[in-house]
Amino acid sequence: MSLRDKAATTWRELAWFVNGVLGANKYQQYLAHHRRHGHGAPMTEREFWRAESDRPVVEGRCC
Amino acid sequence: MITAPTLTERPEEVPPVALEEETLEKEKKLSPLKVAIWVVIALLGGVSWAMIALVRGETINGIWFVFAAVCSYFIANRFYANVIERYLTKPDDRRATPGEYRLDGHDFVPTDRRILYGHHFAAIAGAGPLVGPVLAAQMGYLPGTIWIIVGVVFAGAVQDYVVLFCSMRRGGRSVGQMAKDELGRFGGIAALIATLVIMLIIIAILALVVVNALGESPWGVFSVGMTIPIALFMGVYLRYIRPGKVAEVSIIGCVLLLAAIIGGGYVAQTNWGKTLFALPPIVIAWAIIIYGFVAAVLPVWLLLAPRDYLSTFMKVGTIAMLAVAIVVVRPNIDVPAMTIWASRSDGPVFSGALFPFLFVTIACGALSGFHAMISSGTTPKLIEKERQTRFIGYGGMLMESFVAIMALVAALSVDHGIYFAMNSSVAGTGGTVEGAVAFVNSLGMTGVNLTPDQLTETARLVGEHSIVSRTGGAPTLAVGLAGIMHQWFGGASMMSFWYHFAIMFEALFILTSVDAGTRVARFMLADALGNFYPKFREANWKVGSYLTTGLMVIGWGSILLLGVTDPLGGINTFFPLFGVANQLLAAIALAVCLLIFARRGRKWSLLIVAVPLTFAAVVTITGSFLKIFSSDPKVGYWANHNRFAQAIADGKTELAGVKTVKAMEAVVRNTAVQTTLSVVFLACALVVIAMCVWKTIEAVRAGGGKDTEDPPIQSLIYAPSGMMAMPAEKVLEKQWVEYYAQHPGADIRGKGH
Repeated sequence: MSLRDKAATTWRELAWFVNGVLGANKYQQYLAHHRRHGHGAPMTEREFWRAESDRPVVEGRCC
Repeated sequence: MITAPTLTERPEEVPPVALEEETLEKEKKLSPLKVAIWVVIALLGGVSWAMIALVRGETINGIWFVFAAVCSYFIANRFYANVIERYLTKPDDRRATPGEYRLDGHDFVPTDRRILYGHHFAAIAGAGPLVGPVLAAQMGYLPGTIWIIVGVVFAGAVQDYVVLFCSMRRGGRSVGQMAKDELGRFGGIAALIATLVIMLIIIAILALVVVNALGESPWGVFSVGMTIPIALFMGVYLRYIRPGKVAEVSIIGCVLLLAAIIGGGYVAQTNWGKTLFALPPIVIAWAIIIYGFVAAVLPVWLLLAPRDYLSTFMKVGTIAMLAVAIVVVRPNIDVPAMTIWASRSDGPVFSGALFPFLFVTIACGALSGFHAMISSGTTPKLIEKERQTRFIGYGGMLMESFVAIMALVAALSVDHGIYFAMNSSVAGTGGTVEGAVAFVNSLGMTGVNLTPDQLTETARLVGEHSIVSRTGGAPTLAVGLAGIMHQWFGGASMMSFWYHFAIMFEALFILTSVDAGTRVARFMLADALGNFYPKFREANWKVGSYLTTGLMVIGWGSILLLGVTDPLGGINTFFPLFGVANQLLAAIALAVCLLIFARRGRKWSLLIVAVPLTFAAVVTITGSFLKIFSSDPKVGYWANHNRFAQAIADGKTELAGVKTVKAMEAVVRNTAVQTTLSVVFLACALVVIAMCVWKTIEAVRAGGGKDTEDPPIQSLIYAPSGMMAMPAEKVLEKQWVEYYAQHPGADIRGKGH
């Protein structure tokens, strides 16, 4: 593997990790879930995030 | 007796979902190379501990603390966590986790273990491990270091792990619900009241730390205040402009945040900046109370969620930066291993003897009950495989402990005289440079000779008009961090930037805890009130949500106001309450888990939970008793209450540095509140702990008890258990990749690749 490929892989992995921790991969998760269990056309990315941000859920944060 | 779970047959074409027992045993066998590596780690750790505990030079290098901690964590994670897994929790990868069998794409999602580790760590780590160790530095470096490292290995990480495991086996139920399932209604209510009161205290004291850090600091108020418009902007950006681009907006937010810190320096020098932002503590306290209410009733996407992204980004970034800086700069520490305050109970930073008060002052970082909320909240619903609970629960807490060690090193690197000038209350220092110098030099500590120049020069370097009596830990840590960071990057002219950077990120954590905590507390209250009036459980009933939020804000807000106006220095008197509350919560969580495992038929392995439970119970109960009943007014709330009440009745107008009758009345009132709170949560916690212990004994005698686990369901996914996949795990992973290639529809995991 060339240095460039390695750098690209590292960058992809880092982006994957950061997006995962922040929850930015939720739309992809939703699509995967929808493919298996959903009916009809999935929400568009915009629709999904609108619905997502209206959920009243809150995660606890510690001291 | 509990019988082994009977699982349905796995379909033939599906690869194994767990490693065979023998393969696992073989994987754990230590090869000669591995033995050699572990010997090196053990030796390095041993030498570091010897440097810390035995060698007595003029100074000690901060790097030894890092080595001692990291080596201890590695050994504990490899060997002690293994013992817990093998004899107590006994995870079974053939069983599906709630994330798998209740998969809904939202709350229940099997999440990659490395992402979940980051997620869990971001949820448990906050300002707690940054504040406690700073205050504990009063007693020297040794007691705090031992408790942080030994405490996390045998208590804190154990608690996080067992709570996570128990909750995962119960569909992600909370500690409160588990207490109710195990103990019945009465025990459940006691656990609920204790949790609610404890949460209010924790929120109030954290807010108090922010108030003390921002009081009369125009730079700090401006830059922390700017986080609100920045978060609002991010919220609008994410909702209307570029939905879902979370990482992108977080980076923009961080850049704006840095700009706000730099801008704060200029604003603080202007006259309008001074008049607008140099606010007295009481005004800031009111601002935080109003903010707390508004943030908790506004839509999550507008303020709370974007703040949380910022906070997560800053958290991970700053902690990584501090770790690198400590290794690069290797600060020298001239604080003695044990100061004179280690053997006394009238220390100026926090009062009370080493036992039990050191152990409650350092709560987060060694043992934190608040973590039980996360370990039995979001995280168990995201676990992919049962065996991963060890890496996430035990390993996550080790990282938090490491943060505490770094905070301790940063605080210790501050000159000892300056440290006491910053952390003694106004009642001692009078709030002036001259008063602080006279006070600190009169304490009789060897090697401490504070000069007025030191205080004014440090204040000037960090860009504050005074650093005297800046209690609460955050300013001290900020001075320490600035002292370390400027040696690595930027020189003396950057010290003021680093100081305000540290203040900013601590305030950011704390304000995130304040609004998230208020929301969580409000949902708990609404749920409890729903027992009597079910409408409270409806999430979109505005009256109910305003009412419950208002009640919770009044709860912590009133404690915060008492703390801010406390004539004896709010942190000095209130912080022990915070620590005791947090450890009591830990004791409740451990007690519930003890009972759960006893009912699963465990015997000797129960000691893994029973030992930290006993320790936490002894520490908190002794601490509470001393706070309530001690006749020493420096320690006992009630003794102090009587002393001041008596003095007022005798017509005195001054007592122990408190100079007006009004202030004396405030002391009388605050001590009454402190006593009441101590009694309430001690009583609730004792009820829960006693019930758990009693039922545990019954269960041990009977060889088991009722089973409250969800019925086992056959898992149909596989993932390795630790950070790195073991060779046998890699082989299995490969089989699954091939299987998914042939059956693309079978992959339920939304990995987002």
